[in-house]
Amino acid sequence: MRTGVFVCWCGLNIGGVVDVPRVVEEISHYPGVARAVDYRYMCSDPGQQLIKDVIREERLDSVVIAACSPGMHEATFQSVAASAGVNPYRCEIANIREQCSWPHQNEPGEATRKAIELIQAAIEKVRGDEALSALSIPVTRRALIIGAGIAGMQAALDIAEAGHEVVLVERLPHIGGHMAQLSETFPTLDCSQCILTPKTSEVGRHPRIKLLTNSEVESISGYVGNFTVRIRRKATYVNWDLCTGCGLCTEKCPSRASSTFERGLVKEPAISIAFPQAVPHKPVISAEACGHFTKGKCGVCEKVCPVGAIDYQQQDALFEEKVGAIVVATGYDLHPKAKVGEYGYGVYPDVIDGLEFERLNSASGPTQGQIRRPSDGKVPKEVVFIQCVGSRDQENGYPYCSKICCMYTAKHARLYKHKVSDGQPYVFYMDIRAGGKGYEEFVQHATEEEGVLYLRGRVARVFQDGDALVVFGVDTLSGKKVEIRADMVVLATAIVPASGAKELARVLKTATDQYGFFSEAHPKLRPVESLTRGIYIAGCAQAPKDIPDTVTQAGSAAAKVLALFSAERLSHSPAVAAVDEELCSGCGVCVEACAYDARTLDTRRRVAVVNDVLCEGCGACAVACPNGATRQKNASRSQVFSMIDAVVG
Amino acid sequence: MKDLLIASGQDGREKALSRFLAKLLEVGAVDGLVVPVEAAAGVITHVLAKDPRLVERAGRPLAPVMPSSAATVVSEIVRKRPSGRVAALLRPCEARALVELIKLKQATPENVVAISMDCAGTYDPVLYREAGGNVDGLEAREACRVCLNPAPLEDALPGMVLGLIGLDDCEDVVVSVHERLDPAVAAVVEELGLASGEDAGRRRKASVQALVQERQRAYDRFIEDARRKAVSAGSGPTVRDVSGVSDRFGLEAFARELAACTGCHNCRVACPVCYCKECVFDTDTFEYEAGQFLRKAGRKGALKMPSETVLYHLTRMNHMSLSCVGCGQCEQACPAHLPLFRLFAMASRRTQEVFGYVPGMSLDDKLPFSTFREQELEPR
Repeated sequence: MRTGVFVCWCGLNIGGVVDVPRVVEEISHYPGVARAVDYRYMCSDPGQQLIKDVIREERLDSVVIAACSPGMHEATFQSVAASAGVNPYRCEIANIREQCSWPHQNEPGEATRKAIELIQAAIEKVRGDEALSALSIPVTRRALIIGAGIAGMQAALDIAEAGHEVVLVERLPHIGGHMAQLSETFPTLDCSQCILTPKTSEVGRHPRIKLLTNSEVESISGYVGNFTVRIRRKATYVNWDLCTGCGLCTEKCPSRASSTFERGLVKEPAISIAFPQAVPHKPVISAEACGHFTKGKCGVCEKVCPVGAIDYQQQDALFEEKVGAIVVATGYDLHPKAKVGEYGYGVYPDVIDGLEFERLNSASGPTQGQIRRPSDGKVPKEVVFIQCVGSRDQENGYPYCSKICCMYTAKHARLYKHKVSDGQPYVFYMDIRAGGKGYEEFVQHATEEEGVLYLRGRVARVFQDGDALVVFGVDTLSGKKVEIRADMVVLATAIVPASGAKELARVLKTATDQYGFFSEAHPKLRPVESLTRGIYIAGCAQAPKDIPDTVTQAGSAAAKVLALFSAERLSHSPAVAAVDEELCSGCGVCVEACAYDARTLDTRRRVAVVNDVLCEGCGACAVACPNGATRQKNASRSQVFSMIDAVVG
Repeated sequence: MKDLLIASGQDGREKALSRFLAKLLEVGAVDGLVVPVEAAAGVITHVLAKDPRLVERAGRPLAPVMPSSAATVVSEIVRKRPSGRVAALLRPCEARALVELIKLKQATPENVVAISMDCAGTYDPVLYREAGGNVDGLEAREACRVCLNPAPLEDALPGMVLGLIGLDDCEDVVVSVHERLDPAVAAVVEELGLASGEDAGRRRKASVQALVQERQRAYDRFIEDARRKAVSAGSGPTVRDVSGVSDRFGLEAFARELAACTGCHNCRVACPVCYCKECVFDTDTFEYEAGQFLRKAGRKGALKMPSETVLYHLTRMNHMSLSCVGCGQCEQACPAHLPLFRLFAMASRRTQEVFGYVPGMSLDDKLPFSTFREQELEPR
């Protein structure tokens, strides 16, 4: 056993608190230590060179680096050790920065003592480390993308363009997501459909994109590079292979269903295509509304269909896809109506949300783009926009900012003015958040050039009075109460994760935050990686964001997938769990404890079995196992006990 | 549940019960029967019976001692390559322990026909043997005196329940048949043409209720007393339990209570829920080198030998307190007469309360170790 100990000053981060020379002096006498040295920045090139030189001079077989968190530089030092001929799994990090100098800045003496103990513990650990070699796993170079909004489509196109197959799964019958519902987009006011349709049609016809709409992911097994996904394609009751999308069925259908795409503003035939530019351009029967399913009578669509595509017997189809990486792009929903009682949302027809306003303003929408209020079709002359409905609201909603509402409200107010030049838009706001290229100018234009009246304050109540909606609010800048008799009220309701996001996270075995947004691996440095290797996130599935940010993140997620696909095999840490079958009682406690499905019970032999490549080496099984039958490689019980002894003794 | 009645004949309820059990073997409804027999005067042991005549002759289903937990016995029989159906006579604590063992995959429910029965308490087997089986003047074990479950939890295991409490005068036995009772066994019961036990069942229920109330008072006194002992032994950090009551029972006091431990591990062998094939304390994990022993001794001035006995008991508590059914087998097996029942009762009362977990109540309850609830460790 010849161990070298390398103590880093980290400038003043460690050296300003811990007495490094004393640490080196003490540690150099510890049993098994061939040499202990210090350096100002061990991670620097000269620092790394020093390590290599000492390894060669002292013929070291193991290395302890006393520096910052292994999360920062373990990989760096492992590769330094390997390049000088020491097995990288016999390189241990003693974290004397985050666990020592930083929290003990005011007690340098104690910090020095603790640094010595932490290093001694690491020496004890490295003494028991086996020389392991990395596991290698194959990669299926095929990606699954969940959600075909702008984020999912962008990621799909980027990956497909790079030459890999993509399975794009969308819950709705058509792709495009919420962006397909928008009329114009800020800050350029270009038509949303006009910039979206080139993408939707490209996705629709791309030879390497397998598009599965009206489908949901049921379950996932496997691991990075080797996922098996079960997908349920829900019955559409129309054979899309035969259907030509002629629209005759829709024309003749006598039953009506509330249109989800039109946010319930109109009814549509029970068999219909959501919007003219929909991809795929094929209809779906709503079984809840269809006369054939509800009353067992109607069969009009079947009669009129010229190609016999109607199939009332169609069942959900289940199939499996093998993929190597997954991008979650499940998008968002708006804060549900039921939760905004004080504004009469869901009660008064002329209190609508932002997406409903988008549909009213859309050329393909229920009013052909004329601003007419839902109740009586009247052109509203006074419109009140209320921002932060459910967002930035600790008590009744969510503490977070929905990020896009300031901008889309300014856009709504401006578009309204463009169409109703004698109308008056009011905006109640908390503050204006317009950080983005051209954003501040866009809002400025609304207030200064287009006569949008911004009132800083909250609205207390909205109630119906005859024909009008009375809005009670306060203008905190003038300190006055405000009462507006409005014709229509538009609420910028909070952005919430798409329904089912938490359930999907469970299926994917990755994490969400408390609201249900998918958690990124690191908020700054790994914003598109999930907490599970091989699963990436893009768009509003992660947090509220606008179209440019979504497209950027989707491209970034695609780049990560492509990086994963760049090699034929992946390496996997060999520091995984193993089972001593002689000791194992087959109780299965470890199977339950494993968060990665890396363990199974061999019921015939009554022992637990580990799937090495699924194991993340977290050690939960080893802790759950009562008698040490499960052993964490390079963190064995005897290693841990020796480490404890080194610290307390 | 259907209540039927086994009327005791002239030779008493234990004989009637033995005949009933023998019948199950005789007609082949089960492949084996775990039942206590009297092997010598005052010596009770479990057997896996195949011969119905032996059960009829020597069966002591009501012997008031628990030489070892029948849960352990059943597990030993059906653990490896389970086949056939074994009926087992189980006291309430044994039935609960068996439920825990099934959750821990140390027994397979489909191979066991549980015949649980009321238990008013048992005596120390050594004292019972010395008294030649005469219980006059003997006091039931402490674990039994404060046991809150003298009647089996009816839905815990599919099988049947033999009701005895409150029926001493007539010496009858109420048989409550579970809906999910093995059909072959159910057929035998059917064939016997037993009379309805509804009346007796009602009487029994009332008596069980009264007994549980009495036991609850005894248990409260026991816990109060245990606390007092903890406080008077006390030193070390204050421990606050979930009810907000703080005891002082630190590691040093704990170590003093266990000072007489010889490290024989009998408690682990006797414990019905301790299931490891080989205990970590029997592996080389704690086989220290001489230098390590000397270092450890140097740290405190002296090292208790045999070493790590406190760690051993703490580990057992850590592993088993959630599944502890309070049978007291650990204390019964201890040659040093350590107060193991009291210590485990105090620890498990708290851990089980934290997770809202009642061991042995249902096969559907997940072991707290194997599940995670976001709020489970939040202060309540």
